[in-house]
Amino acid sequence: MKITGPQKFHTNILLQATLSCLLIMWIAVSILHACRHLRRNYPAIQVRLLDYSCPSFADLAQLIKTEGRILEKDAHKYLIYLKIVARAFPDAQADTIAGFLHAKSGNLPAAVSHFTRAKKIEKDFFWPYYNIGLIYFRTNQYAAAIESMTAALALNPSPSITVILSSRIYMQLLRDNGMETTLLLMRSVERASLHAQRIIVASLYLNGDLEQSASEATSFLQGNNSGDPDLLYWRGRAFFDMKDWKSAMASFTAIDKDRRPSEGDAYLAACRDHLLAAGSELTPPLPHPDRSAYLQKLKTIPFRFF
Amino acid sequence: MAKTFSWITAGIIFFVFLALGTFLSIHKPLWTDEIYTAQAGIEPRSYQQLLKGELTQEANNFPLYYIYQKAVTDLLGYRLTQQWDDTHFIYEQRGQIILRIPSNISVAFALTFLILFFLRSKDPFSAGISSLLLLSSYMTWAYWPEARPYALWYSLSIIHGLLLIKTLREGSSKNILALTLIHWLLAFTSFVSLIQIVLANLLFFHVKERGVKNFFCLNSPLPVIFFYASLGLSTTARLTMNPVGLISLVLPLEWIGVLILCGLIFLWRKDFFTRPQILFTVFFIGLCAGTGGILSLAAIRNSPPPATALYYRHFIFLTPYAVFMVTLVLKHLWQHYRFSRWATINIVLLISGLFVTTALRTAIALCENIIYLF
Repeated sequence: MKITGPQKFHTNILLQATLSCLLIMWIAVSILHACRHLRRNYPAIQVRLLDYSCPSFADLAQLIKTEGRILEKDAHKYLIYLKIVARAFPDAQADTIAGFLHAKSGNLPAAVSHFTRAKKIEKDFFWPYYNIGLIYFRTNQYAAAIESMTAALALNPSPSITVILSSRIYMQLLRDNGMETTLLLMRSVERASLHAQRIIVASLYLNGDLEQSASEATSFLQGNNSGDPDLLYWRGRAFFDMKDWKSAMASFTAIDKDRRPSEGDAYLAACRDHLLAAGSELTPPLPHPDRSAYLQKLKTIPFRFF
Repeated sequence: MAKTFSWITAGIIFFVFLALGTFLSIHKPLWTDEIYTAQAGIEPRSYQQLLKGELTQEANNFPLYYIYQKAVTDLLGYRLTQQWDDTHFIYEQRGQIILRIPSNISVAFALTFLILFFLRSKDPFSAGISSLLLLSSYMTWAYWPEARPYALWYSLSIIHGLLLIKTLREGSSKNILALTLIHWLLAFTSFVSLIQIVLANLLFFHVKERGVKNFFCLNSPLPVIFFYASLGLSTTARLTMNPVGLISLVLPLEWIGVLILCGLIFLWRKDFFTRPQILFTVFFIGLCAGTGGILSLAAIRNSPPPATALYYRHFIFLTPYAVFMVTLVLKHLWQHYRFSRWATINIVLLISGLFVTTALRTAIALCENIIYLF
C-alpha cells in the first residue's frame, strides 16, 4: 500500500525524529546565541545604560545647597542611577552617595545599609565609616558611633578624596555649579583644613582655573602642609596643562616616591619627554582615564544575567 | 452563574494586566517624545482643537489618543511639572503612571478581550498561544507603557483582528456592527489604519451578511481618515534603519518562518485550511504588502529631514495580526497531528522554540534599546 500525504507524515518515524532533533537544536542554538550576544555586548550595554540613565547633577547641587532634608521623590532619580552603577560593578562610591541621599531624605536604615555595603566593597574607603559614624551620633548610639569614627580616623582619607575628585559625578557637579558647590560639599563633609585645601586646589584645576589652582596650591604648600602629595599632584597637573614643564616636573618630583600615584609617574615621564624634546609642541599621550579604561574595567566583571 | 464567573475572570485578568502595566510604567522614565507630546501637544490645546486635528507638530494629528490622554489628565488634575532639559529621560513617578493610564488601560483591555474571546469560543489552545506570543513580542513591552498613540493602536488592532476572525467565521450583523465601531476608533487613531480598514472591507464580500447597508456601515469611517490626512499628513518619509531590521522587530523572523511553513503546507494540500483561515491569510498578506509598499516608497524617495522618519513603531499594527496568523497555523497543526505522539512532541517543541526565541530576542532588544531602568 502506498503511503501518502499526512499519513506519511504520521508514520515516518525517521522524519519525525529528525524534525525533533532539528527543533531541539534550534532552541539550543537560539539560547546559546542569545547568551553569547549578551556576554559580548554586556559591557557596551552597561555603559550605554549608565550614560542614558545619568541624571542632571545640577539638580543634586541645588538639593545639596538647601542643606536640609531632601524629599525621597527628588532623590529617586539619583538612587536609580546609583543602583545601576552598583549593578554594573560593585562601587563603594556609588553606595556612599546613595547612603548620603538616603540619609538626607531621612531614611537612615537604608543609608546605613548602603554605607555598610560600601565598607565591604572597599575596606579602605574613608567616607562610609565617617558617615555611618555621623548617623550613629545622630541616633544617640554613641558606642557604635565611636567605633565607626575610630575606624574612619585609622584610615588615610587622602585616597578617598582622590577617588571622589576623579569621579564623574563630582566632575559634573563642578561643571554645573563650580566652586560654590565644592565649598558646600566641603562644609557638608566637615573635614579638617588640609582636606579642604586639597578640594579647593583640585576643584579649581577641574574647573579649568589652572593659574589659580597652582597659586593656591603653592600658598598652601608654603604653610603647614608642605610636602602634601595631593596638593603637589594637583599643582603638577596645573603646571603641566599650562605647559610649564619645569615647574610641573618639580611638583611631581617633590611627591614622596612611596606616596606618588601611578598617574604622577606617568606625568613625570611626560614632563621629561617634553623637556628633552625642547621646543616641541607635541603632547605625549597621557594616562587619562577615559571610556576605554571604563570599558576595560567592565570587561573584568564576570557576566551575569540581569 | 457561568456569566458572572466569566465577568469575574475578566475583571481579575484585566486588573492583573493593569497592575503589570503600572509596574512597567514606574520603571520606565518619561522620554523625549512622550514629554513633547504631553507638554507641547496636548496641554496647550483644547478638546475642540484636538478634534479639529490642529495637532500639526506631531507626525500624527488623528485625535482619539490625545483626547483620551487629555481627559485622563484633566480628570486627575495632573500637569507635567518638569520641563524637558535635553536629558534622555525625566523621572517623575506620578507622571509616568498618569500619562500612561490611557495606554495601560487599552493594552490591559485588549489582552483581557483576547483571552476571554478564545476562552468563550472554547479554544484555550489559541488563548494560551496568542497571549504567550503577544507577551513575548518586543512591541508589547516597548510600547505598552508609552504615553503616545501606539499602545491604543496596538490594542485596537488586537480587537480588530479578533472581530475580523469572528466575522469571517460566523458573519452576523452584530459582529459587523462591532467591527464598524472598531473601524471608527481606528479611523480616529492613525492614518495607516486606512490599510487595515480597506483590506477588512474587501473581505466583507465573503461574509454571509454582505449587503449594501453593511457595506456602507463598514466604509463609513473612511471620510474621517481623509479629513485628518488632508489637514496635516506629511507626504514625504525617510527610513531610519535597514527595512529588514525594522520589520524584524515587528514580525520576528521565527514567526515569518512558521508562516512560510504554513504556505508550503497550503501548496502541498489545498484543503488543509478552512475558508475563513484562507481569507484571514489574504488579509494578512495584504497588510504586509501595504507595509512593504510604504517602506519601498520611503526607500525610493528617501526625502531628507523634515520628512517623517519611519520607525518600527509605525508598523506596530502588524504584530497582533501576525500573532493571530501564527496561532491559526499552530492550532491547525495541533488539530491535525495531535493523535500522533511524535508529531505532538514536535508541535510542542515548535511552540516552545517560538516562544523562547522570540522572548530572548525581545529581552536583548529591550536591553540594547534601554527601555526600562530596573
